[in-house]
Amino acid sequence: MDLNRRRFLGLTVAAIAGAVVAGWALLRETAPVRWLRAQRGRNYPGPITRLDLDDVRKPGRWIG
Amino acid sequence: MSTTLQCELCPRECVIGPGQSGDCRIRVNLDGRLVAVTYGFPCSVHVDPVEKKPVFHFLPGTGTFSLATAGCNLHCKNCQNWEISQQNPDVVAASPLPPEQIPRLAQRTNCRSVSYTYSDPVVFYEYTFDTCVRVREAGLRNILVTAGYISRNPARDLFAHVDVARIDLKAMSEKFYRDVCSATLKPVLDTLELARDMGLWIEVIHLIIPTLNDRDADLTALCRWVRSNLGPDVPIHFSRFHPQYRLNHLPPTPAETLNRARDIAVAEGLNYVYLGNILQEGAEDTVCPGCKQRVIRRTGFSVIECTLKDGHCPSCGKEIPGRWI
Repeated sequence: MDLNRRRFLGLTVAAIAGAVVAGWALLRETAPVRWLRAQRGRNYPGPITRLDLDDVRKPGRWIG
Repeated sequence: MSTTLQCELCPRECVIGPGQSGDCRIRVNLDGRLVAVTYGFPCSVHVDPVEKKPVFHFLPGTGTFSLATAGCNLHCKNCQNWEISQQNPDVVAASPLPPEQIPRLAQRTNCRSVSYTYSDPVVFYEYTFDTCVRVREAGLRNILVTAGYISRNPARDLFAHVDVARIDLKAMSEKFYRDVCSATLKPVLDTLELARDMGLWIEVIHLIIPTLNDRDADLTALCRWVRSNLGPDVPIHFSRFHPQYRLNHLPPTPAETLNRARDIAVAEGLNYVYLGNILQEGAEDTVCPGCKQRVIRRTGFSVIECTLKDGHCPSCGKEIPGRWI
């Protein structure tokens, strides 16, 4: 089929539209999901100790 | 869909890949969900005098129920609590303590407030937030002891439940924040202004480190900013540096430097200037700016004498700003 003016414009518009859709999909796939509030963890990853109330009543060793 | 997350809690806005944590070490991407792994697991829980925070114009002489979890979003080379703030939670022991138990425990230990302190409550934000709500419901007060490195929206939401913000202003220099703390100054100033706008009681602390932030020009700029933006009645605490962590090659701050800082602050128009980490007569006393009468005498973290009458100087009747009852 000959490439007339109408067909050329049609192909150009289709190519641009395809590129925009593909770019948007790629961006959506790779962009990080934004989170503000974290969820509560189920398990603490470190060692767990029992809260000692006698120790709690004393001032802490840390600054602040 | 990608499982990479971006945490919007603090100005770092960490992009966190699957299984990884943010810069604070405790906000983790688990299966595409952002999880606060220290929620409900404080590594340090103690009853401190409120003066230890230090907070001097708020319920003097009372105990404050103080807690922290591991992690921090700053990495100060001088950190005095680095063993909990700069460690992964995997190696820091913690005890289960859900928010709903904290008000009752604070009341049992005769505390009138709860402090979120030691590391930085910004990183255990959700735990702090949920606890603050319950503490207020129980008729107690909330004290945030923080470096103020937090984004505006989460700060605004949290401050609605907070009574006191004790905020570190580590320097008035972007270079200092970048080189010493791996952070930036502007968000800290924004947080201070937000706390002011929301009517929190603010106290500022400034640790003076020899050769890094102890020039007269540094101190003048800091005092001038506090005076202009927070007002003359915001207490400022100049704290003495002791060699610590990655700055253990520097000497302790000389007493003369602290006294010079106090002179500069007074000359800049600040009414309530305190010196910390130093034993010096009068360093922690509250003096009426009107008649120069001492109204609160403190030593260490103890209130020796408080002559305030309904928040006013007993001698000249001037109101001393703070939250006294």
